[in-house]
Amino acid sequence: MAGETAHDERFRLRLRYGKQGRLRYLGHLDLMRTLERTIRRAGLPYALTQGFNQRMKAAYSAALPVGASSEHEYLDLWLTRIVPADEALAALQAATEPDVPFHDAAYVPLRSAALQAWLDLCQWTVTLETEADEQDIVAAWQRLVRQGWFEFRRGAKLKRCDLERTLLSISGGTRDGHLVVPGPDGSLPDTASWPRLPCRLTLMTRSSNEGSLRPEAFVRAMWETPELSGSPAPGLSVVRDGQWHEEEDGSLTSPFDRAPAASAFRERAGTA
Amino acid sequence: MERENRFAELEPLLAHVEKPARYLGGEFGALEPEPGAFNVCLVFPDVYEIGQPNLGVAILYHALNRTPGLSCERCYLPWPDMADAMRDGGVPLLALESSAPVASFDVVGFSIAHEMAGTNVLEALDLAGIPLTSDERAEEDPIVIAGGPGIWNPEPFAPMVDAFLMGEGEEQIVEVAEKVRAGRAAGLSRNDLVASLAEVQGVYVPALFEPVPDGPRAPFAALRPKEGASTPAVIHKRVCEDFAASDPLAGSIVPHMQTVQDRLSIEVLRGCARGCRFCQAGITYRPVRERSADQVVSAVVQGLEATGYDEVSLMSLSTTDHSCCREFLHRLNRRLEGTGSRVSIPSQRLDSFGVDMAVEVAGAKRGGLTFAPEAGSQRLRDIINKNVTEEDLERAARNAFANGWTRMKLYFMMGLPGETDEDVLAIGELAERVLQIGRETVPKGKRGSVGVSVAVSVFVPKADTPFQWCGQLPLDEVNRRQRMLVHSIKDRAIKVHCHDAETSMLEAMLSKVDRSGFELTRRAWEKGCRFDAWTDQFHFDRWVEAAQEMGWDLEGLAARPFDLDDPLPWEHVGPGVSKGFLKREWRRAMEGVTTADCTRESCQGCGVCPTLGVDNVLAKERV
Repeated sequence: MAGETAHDERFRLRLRYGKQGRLRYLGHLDLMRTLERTIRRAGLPYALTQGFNQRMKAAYSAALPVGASSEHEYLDLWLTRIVPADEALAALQAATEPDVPFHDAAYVPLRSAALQAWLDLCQWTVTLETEADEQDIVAAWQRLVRQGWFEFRRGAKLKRCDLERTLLSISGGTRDGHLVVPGPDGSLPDTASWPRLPCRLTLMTRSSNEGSLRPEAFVRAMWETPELSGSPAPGLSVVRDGQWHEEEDGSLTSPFDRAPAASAFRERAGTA
Repeated sequence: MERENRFAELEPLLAHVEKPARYLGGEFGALEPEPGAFNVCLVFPDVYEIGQPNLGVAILYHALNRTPGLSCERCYLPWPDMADAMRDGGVPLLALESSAPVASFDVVGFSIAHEMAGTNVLEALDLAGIPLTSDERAEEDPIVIAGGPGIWNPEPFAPMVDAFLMGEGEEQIVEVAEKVRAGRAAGLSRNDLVASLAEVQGVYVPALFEPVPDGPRAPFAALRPKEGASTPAVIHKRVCEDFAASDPLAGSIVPHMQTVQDRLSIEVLRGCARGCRFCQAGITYRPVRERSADQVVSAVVQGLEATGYDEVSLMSLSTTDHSCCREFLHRLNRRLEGTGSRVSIPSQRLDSFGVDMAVEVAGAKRGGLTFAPEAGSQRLRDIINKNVTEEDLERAARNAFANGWTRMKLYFMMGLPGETDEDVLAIGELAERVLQIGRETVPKGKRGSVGVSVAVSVFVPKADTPFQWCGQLPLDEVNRRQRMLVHSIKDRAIKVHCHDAETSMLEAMLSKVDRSGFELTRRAWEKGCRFDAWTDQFHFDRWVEAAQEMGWDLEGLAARPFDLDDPLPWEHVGPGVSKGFLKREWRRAMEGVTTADCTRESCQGCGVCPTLGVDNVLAKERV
């Protein structure tokens, strides 16, 4: 059985995993439960939290919206003894379900920043199944960007998303690779002759304590602008393509960039 | 309907419904359907989070899938938002594993957990596109079977079901599936095939029965086999031959979403012989059979490792009655120490031993502890044969408060036969006594948090129990007694919750009527009733309207008692208990005489063992 030395949080194993297929419809709590059960099945020596209700000590990157898929989700798992990262990864791969694949594992320093707040930049690809004209689509997002915010419903509440703070860039294209990028004067290429293929948007977003942008909500807001309000709501699929930390100089650090080589870390951990 | 994967039609609906995880399938431990196999779909007619933890379905799923050539999948009833979206979108009910239409399966089996499930069975059949009644089904439609604890009066369900599997299904369902497969291969007509299922022991085929001429009339008709029908006149339930030899690790599908029993379940014991006279399960799950402590411990350890659960429930009707309860709880606590994994037991025995066992499993966190005295006075507890004394209760309460619990939950029933106003008021007095013990026992600093909550359900007479002849207490009288109880309790540290009398009245009516009860269910469903067991979905007015159309007085039917010698609508099926025993128990109840537990004292002559050719099997002597 795992977890022999209950509260001894000696090692912090960082994992990259995916959420795809049918399981992209799992909510974050369901996903966490599923991951924790996978970790127990894998037999890893996980540490427990303190307190009355002892839980596995783990921390996750920001929740992926229900329905979105990703191969770039992260979690940190605290272990009571060291297991070579490749062995831990293999055990997880053997214990998991196909729609939640594990991709990478590496130890990170115990005092690393918490994933959820530290990973503040995301790239998203949104594929739209729509008959709407590309020019109208571009004009719709330009309108929202000029406006600087959009409103969306969450349950019964109407919320406002500040685009200046949350949206770093947006670009579009058709699935066959044509980019639809406005010229410096705002003019658009003539797309009338292009085949009606699903349209693809790429968004770079920034999250903070004050909130983040949900790509699906942004697209729905686009369809409420005068440019698109006559067009039926699009079918859409949302993929999170990556998560990074933005350094003060603007450069991007990935969750594994600072992970020391396992051997070096083992030495430093010393007491293992 | 063709067997093909239709998930692509369901998927666009997922973004628009509550809890889409209900419809995803693909859980760890779910099996891939075997191509070309004979396909069975087990339908639990309630939502996923209620149905998925059901141990009965898990056992049958496991039994069918380990049989070569048979493949079993699961299906749960979509919540109304999804059901409506599916109807609007023309998407039929799909099985979870293959996303193939339920109507494309060879056999569709319903697990009926309670008497109120009728409208949900209709809803499932309708969503599936399977004709609602056996009569209307065509040659190529699936064979519809049903089983479970809610069918001891099968008649209100009978028109929907081609064959009922009475009792323990793990061996029987395999035999039934194989018989359907063989019958289809031999080109039998649907009627002949369905009739042939009566050859499997414990299978009841409603089409082979008719009302007894000159017997009681609808809605209380008794049934007998039709002329020339090849079926036993009384279908006794099936019993799993060697319970201890069965795999204790049947329920190993690990759901993604939170379910009502979100933990590993190990069935440690089957049956209960305490003999509470209101309790249907206490008769219908006999005889008593225990797994050994070694088997329990190794199943728990293996099961937790294989599934990744952090909690295990040791399931049975009365786990603390297991002869090795103390031993396996001790051993499990040692094995699981430091893993964060917990053991839970579903109910506490109402004595000091029960509290000792609760201490074993409680860990550091002690919220509330639940006991079921069922009746407030000793007189009434003797009538129902709840063999606990006032002293047992007080000792148990003192022990629990001394061990760190501050809140106690007490379950009672109202409307038991022979109940007087004094018995009702005794519920409040008992709650006050427990509260007083708590205030005396709990250390000063925590005394403010001492509380007692009282939950009072309404007694519903059930088939195959000594109280099966009773009428249900009328609504007005239930309401009067409930008000009287609530007003009698002055201390604000006692919270009282009374169960809805209307739901219980309907349940009582459906528990006793004959096949014509189906017509009522069908009308209620046509008026929009479904999920009747959910308080927020229950529309009593629609049931009343349906009853009025049929000229039925629901309350009058529910309240009607039977004479001890009346032929009853469910007597052509049964758990093997003798009518003589039930009558004797009824008389003893009225005399206030209790009856002992045959796993602790000698045989009390219920008739189950000789009728079914079985015995109690204990791991060691019970004390």
